[in-house]
Amino acid sequence: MKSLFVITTMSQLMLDILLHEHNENDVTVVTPYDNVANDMFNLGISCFPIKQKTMSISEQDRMFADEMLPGVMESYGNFLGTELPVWKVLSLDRLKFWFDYGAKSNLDFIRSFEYDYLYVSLDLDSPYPWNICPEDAHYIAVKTNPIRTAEFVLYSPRFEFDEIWVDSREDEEFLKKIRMKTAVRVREKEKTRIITRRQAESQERGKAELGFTNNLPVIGVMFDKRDEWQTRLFLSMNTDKNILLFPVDTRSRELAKDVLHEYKFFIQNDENVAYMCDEVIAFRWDDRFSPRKLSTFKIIDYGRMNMASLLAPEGIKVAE
Amino acid sequence: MKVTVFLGRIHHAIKLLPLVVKLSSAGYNIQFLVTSNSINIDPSTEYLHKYGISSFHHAHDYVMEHDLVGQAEAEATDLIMMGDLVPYNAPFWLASSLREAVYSLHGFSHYLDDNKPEIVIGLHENNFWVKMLFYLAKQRGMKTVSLMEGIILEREEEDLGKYSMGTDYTDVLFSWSDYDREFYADSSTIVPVGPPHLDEWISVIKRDEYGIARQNICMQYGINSAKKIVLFAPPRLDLYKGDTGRAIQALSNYCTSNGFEIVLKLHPFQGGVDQIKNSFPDLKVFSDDDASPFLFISDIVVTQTSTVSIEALCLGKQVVELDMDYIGIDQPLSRLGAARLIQGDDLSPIGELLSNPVGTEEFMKERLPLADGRSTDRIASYLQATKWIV
Repeated sequence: MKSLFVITTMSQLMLDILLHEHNENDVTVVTPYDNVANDMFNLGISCFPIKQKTMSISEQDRMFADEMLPGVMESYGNFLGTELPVWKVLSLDRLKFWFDYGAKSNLDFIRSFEYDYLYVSLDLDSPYPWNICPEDAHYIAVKTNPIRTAEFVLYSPRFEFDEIWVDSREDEEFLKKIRMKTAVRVREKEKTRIITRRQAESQERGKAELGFTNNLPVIGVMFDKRDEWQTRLFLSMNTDKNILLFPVDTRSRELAKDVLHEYKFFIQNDENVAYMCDEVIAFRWDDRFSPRKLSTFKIIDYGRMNMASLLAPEGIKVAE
Repeated sequence: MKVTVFLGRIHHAIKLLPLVVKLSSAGYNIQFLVTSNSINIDPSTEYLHKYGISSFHHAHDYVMEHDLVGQAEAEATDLIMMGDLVPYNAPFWLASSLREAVYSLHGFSHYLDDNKPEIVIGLHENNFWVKMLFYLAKQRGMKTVSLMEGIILEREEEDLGKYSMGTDYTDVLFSWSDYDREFYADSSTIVPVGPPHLDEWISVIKRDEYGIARQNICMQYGINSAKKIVLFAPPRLDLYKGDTGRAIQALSNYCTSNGFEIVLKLHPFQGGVDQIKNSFPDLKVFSDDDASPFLFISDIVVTQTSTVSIEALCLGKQVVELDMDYIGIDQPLSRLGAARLIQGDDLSPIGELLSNPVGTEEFMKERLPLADGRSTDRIASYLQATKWIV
């Protein structure tokens, strides 16, 4: 049996499958990205790196005009209830920034291989895994990137894979929840989610140490700059509480100081103190938020704009 | 008269706010409209507060208020299913852009219906959001007004037809000069006024306040105002033609050995700024959003970008087009006698130009006669004279 791996991003799961196949079958690896080619080299696995062809800016622009103005984008028609074509909005000021000039010829190169199984990275940030569409081979996508995103959900009805491989039961549940028609296979055991809720005394002591002695509830707010709009709304509706704001990165921290100053809150950089909050609020699901493991953690998804009830794992409280 | 000004990104604010100040003082009722950028990776409020703008309308507020999130998601899903596979772009960008567009369309529609502005101003119509906003405004009989983002690149019109697409739903586009008119599909919409965002800088020079203003700005940025200042303002480094590291090092060496102050102003969208600063620890490196203060204080501007060159000329600066690796400059002003082309390693023309500046009055008279610090006045007068009533 011959297996072709088109790898655009790597994960432990992809590596496990690749090494297994490498031992069992005739494996070829193709990648358009240098960092993946270097990974393969370090693992001692031979790989075809696809080199991007060099084009002048003028050649690139002419190609873009032929293919995308409107080109393939004409098939997207007009926005509903308007006579405004989708391409007029998206092509020049969005898709052009990330147009991969070599993609079409590289895809032809990838299709020229012979294989029975095609493994690709489940990577929404690359055009390659999605556009090979083999006629005869078994088409398998392997999780390499976060899948609990709005864009993943939106694009999922277009998936043409025969199978999707993930590494947890949680992911399998999630894919069922979004009505994924593709067969899902779980390769690793489910990881147990750890609930680390502290005792009430410890919580009260923590509050006192931070100076909250007014008996008003202490609410922790995970502040991601992407949710600046939702945060303002929440703060305006919760002026009668002690608010501890946990900025998730440097820019969010600066933004909080600059634009949320009309509200009363305290910035706290250490997410470890979130245990003492009566409630910890986020406005979206994000794997990186460490207080998500607390039983006091809750997502408020205003207007369901961040699809939290769909994206958050089982057991996470979501209000809309 | 009620005017909506759309500020989608910081460069919209830089280019539009001088006009806003003028229209406000002329009695126009100005409202700011913003929205989220892509997945709100650069929130508008990050730059609005820099300009003291705390009151604005956010398109998503209107989507929420009118309970349209579910409908927007369904429409975005339908659109994604509608078209063919796009082999050139990662699906993330198609999905996120369609979602963003549908939210913007609903938000803008309800904003316009609820607030009923008579005039809607956006920086330029080829912008993702402005295209939608102007389409919706025109449907409602509102007047749409845009400016030029930068100088017209003839190559972009030839290869992409970019400017021909820039006035589909625009009533008036205030251009920098009459020369720009021929590139737009509907030249009757083009009204030459000059570059409004440079008005204040040009006025300071005209008022003979240049010396003290230059000193103040230099002090603010830690630049030695007693020396001649050479500003290197390259395009984004991935678009720079040639070896940028070599160019920066050569300019730095040349300026240091000749007693000039060298300043590197990076493109606002340049990534890896800290790495660049670390690579050239002795260099004054800035990545501010607005290039105007740096152009203003400099004596000579070294670049490959025609918009920066033109802006420098508007402020009376000498311009060098740098092509050390003999790759060629897009639309070179040196061919028109308004800049000096340097090819190869010999940077001595910089010193020569600083000692004996070349006159650019003829070029300015012909190509940019309206760069006189009164562009915003012309726009205000035009709008008042037309007496648009919706």
